Amino acid sequence: MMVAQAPTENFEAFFQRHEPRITGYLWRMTCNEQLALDLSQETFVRAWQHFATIQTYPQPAAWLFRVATNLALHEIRRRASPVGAAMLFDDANDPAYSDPGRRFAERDLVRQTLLELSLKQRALLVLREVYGLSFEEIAATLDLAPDATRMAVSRARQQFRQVYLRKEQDHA
Amino acid sequence: MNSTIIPGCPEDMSVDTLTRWRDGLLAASQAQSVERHISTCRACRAYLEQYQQDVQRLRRFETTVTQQDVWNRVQPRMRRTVPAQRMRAIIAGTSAFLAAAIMVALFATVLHNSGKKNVASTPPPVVTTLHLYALVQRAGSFPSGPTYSLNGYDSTNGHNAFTHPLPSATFTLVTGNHMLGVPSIQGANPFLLLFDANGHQTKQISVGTSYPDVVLSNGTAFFVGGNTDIAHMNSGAPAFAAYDATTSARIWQHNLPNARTIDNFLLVGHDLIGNVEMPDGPVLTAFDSTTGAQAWQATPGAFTDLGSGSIGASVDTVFIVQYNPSTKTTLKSGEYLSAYDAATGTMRWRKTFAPQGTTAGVQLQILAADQNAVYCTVINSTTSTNSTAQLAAFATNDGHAVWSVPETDVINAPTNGFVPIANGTLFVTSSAASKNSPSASSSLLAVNVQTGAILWQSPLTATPVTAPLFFNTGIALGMQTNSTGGGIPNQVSIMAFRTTDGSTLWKTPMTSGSFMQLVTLP
Repeated sequence: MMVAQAPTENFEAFFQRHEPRITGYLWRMTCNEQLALDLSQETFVRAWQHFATIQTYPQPAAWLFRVATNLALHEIRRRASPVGAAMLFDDANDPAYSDPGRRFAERDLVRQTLLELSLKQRALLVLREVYGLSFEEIAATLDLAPDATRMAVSRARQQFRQVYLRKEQDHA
Repeated sequence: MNSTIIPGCPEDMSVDTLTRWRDGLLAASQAQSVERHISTCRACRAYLEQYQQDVQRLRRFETTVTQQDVWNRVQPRMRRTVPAQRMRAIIAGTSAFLAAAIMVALFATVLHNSGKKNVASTPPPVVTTLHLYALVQRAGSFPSGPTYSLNGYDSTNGHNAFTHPLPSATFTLVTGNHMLGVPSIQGANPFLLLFDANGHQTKQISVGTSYPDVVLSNGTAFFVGGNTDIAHMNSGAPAFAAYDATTSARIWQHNLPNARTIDNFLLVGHDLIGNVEMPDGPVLTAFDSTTGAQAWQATPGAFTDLGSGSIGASVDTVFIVQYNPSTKTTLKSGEYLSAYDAATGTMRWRKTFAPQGTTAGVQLQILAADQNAVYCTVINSTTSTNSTAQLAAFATNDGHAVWSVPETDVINAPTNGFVPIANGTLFVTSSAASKNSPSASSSLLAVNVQTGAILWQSPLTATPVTAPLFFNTGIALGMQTNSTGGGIPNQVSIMAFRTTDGSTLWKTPMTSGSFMQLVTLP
């Protein structure tokens, strides 16, 4: 049976499989591509150091998310200032791209909204809605009580909605 | 407890209850109560729709950092870093003095080996090969029954890339959202298994009702099914439902307690459209895919043909095949082909196919549709043993016959989905009309969709058991040589053909079994 967590899975395959989710998670946590790149690098170097153990875990992604979360929390608090650098003006943001105005405006609104949420709310929202972790997995990743996690996710959703609506009206 | 009320809800539904319903955390009785409320409450549906839009916004907020960017920075550090477990093993197994000496040697060895073996000197391989995927059934002994697997094949040469065992009750294989989906049942628990392009299982979505039909689109798994007809081996009230394919959360559910069955549904534009058999006759109905609200309902007023090839759609038109009620009660049955506006449910045209001959009828099956025409096979059974077949195109706008090609063989209608149209060419298979030698003269045909001209016809050496599948460089077919009896199983294989002339690209024999479906990722 071919499963992702087979002991023989080598690190390249492990990296290839998990990296997009971890980098994407760190991007949504920090809204800073350089920082997301740095932290993703650090997460996978640590994974390499502990690879013999991690690859035996039934859900190695949970370990990666936990390490990535701790690195992001530590780094953002260390900087003690809001992160969020200018976005690269690449193909995805290219004005020549389809419907560029709307696409870029939405991207900027989402970025501003995420930065206004607390770090914990960003983590809750992204882990649940973008990466589909169960409430139990989120609780384990963020060191929260399982019973409180669902309610915390619910509040994060509402907070995102309120902030996004407000910013959308401000930009209208 | 979050007691915020949904704005505008006449029954003061709380946000907490609605989100618990969406996350599948309510007891069945309370969930049903919420579903009844949602079906009538515009405010709650609007809240759920906004919620889903927020989720989609977050998912679209993607980084431009590439996997290569990260790997380029991880790889040099791997060369300088000894994995912790190796280091601990070294220290634990030697004296302090020897450890120091051996560590130097092993450290160098580890670095050397890791540079050559565990760490690629080149960037990580990126999946560039397009895979073909097959749902394969293999005969099993009593009482365990047949076994199923999801197989992946390299489309360039047909090599088997992976084989993933599946649960014993597996219905079909669907694709969408860069994912593969397999609806299954284990014991009494129905669920949908989701796999990525490399055959890794990514998710299991548990659903309350057995849904034999699934569509994956726009990050959502749409389920349709459940019926009270014992003949269909299902149970539970028929329902349409949508689940988030990432979180497994239920987005909406629309129960149809009075319906007998739901059959043959499609996602057309923004709506989920299908046949619903009500006690007093069939209705063609459309549900908004975002909210689950009913968009429109049409009453075709005739017996709906529930078999394969009975519904099709182009960009803005839905086509259905129906029995002619005036002839249904006799052996001389005729059929209707009707076209409905997919946005409003208004019937655009209806075409009648009268039976010819004296004792049998006419059978119509939809093969495919595009913005210009709907492509059908029309089989006239002139007597109980003889039939004539036509491949025909009927204009989308008014139903007039654009072209018609008489065929001595029967064009095969797919049991799942439609035959492919690519680069202005329709690809179909045909089998000899004689029931005594079904594989004697099977062929793969390429037909010009504008003129009906047969561009090429390639004889097949075995019976095609899947619909033709178009992929980047060819057409793939699941083939089967039927067992000759005596316990000898069917021999199955996948064959790929060039789209330009029908010549063989490759053939991959498989261990004995039978095909259920062949798909690729869009």
